Amino acid sequence: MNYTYVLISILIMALVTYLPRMLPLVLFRKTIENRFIKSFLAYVPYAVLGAMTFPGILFSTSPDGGFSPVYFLGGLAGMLVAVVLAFFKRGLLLVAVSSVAAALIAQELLGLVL
Amino acid sequence: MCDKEEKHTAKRPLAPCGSDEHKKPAEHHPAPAQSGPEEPYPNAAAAPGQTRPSSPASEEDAAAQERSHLTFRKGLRDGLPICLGYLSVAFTFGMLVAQGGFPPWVAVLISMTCFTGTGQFAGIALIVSGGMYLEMLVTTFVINVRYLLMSLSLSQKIEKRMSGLQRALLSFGNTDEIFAVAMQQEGKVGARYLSGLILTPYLGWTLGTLLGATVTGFLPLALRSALGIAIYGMFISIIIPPARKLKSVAVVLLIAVAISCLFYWTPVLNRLSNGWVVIICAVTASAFGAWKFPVKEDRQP
Repeated sequence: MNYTYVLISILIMALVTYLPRMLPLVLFRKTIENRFIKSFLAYVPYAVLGAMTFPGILFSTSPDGGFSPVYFLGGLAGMLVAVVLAFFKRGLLLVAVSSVAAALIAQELLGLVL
Repeated sequence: MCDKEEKHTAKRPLAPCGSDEHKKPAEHHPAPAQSGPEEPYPNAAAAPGQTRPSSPASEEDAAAQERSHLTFRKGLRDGLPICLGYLSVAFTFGMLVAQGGFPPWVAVLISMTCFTGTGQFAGIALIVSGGMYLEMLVTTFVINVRYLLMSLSLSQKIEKRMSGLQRALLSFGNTDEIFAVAMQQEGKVGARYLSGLILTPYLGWTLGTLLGATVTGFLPLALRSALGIAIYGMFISIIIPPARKLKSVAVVLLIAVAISCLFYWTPVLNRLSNGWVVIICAVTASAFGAWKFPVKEDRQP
């Protein structure tokens, strides 16, 4: 195995992950007074997580990332369970573990049928 | 969302970013909620810094810090659910690296130096396929470009007096989940709370990777594939409760999701890589939210 290649790759990944996190926080020290920008930044967490979750979650249990009915429906089952539990304000861990369990059970059952 | 909830939110000067922490202590507090120093503000309007908006920022920070309920210990405690969620996600990552034929230390090194979900999964896939350095740089950058936006958002949430070194160190831990939980806290967030909030998830991320990379063979394929959904379950548990409470957040969320789905299923648009799609969704939806539902002036978002 070519470890020089692996280590340089890891270094690139680490730097390109760290710099976008670090630069705005260190360089930008003003308080934004503009109401629009303040509001905009307040909505960013929800918009980012929402866009990352949907529709990605539907394909998240496929081993190769491709489409297959069993994995798609498994992802759908996991998604529904997670949404319902989160709606009733269950904790982060319970929601995550339950969605894994739901996806697993759905895929096993569907595997018998399809 | 019903009318009652809307009126409720209109009366209180609530920012879209959470502040309903006090109402659902079970969410991020595995231990029973304590009275006393943990929860000094019975309602949002009484928090310091808002009653005296004219005082200088440094004084405000100092006063807030003195009475702050956001201690290191609370950070550790709020980080615990994230830590447990990370265990399973990182476990999946560790397995993937081991399946690629790498020794466990490679997986652990990546997790300890990058501390990011999507970027690591994409990165290891490229390493396995022997991708070029430039490819790695561009792919990782595109996936991580959202952090620019998130860190800018966080820069408005942290105490102004935080030093450059503290900012440089703590920004390493600005993951999607830690960011979201920090933003949901009442008032400004300090270095102590943030270090606690980062430390527990970081340990979970590292440990999960190590376990995944070493015990891979023992898990059946079905479970390994189902574990891929864990990180999305965490995302959902973070975004749904505030969306249920605030119509503004729900609308922003729905717009972001709609655009994201549009990009995924529209023939030409779906060639755009995921990182850019997230940015387009976030900018459009947040801008719409800021235009339609501006946050109250006297509140720190």
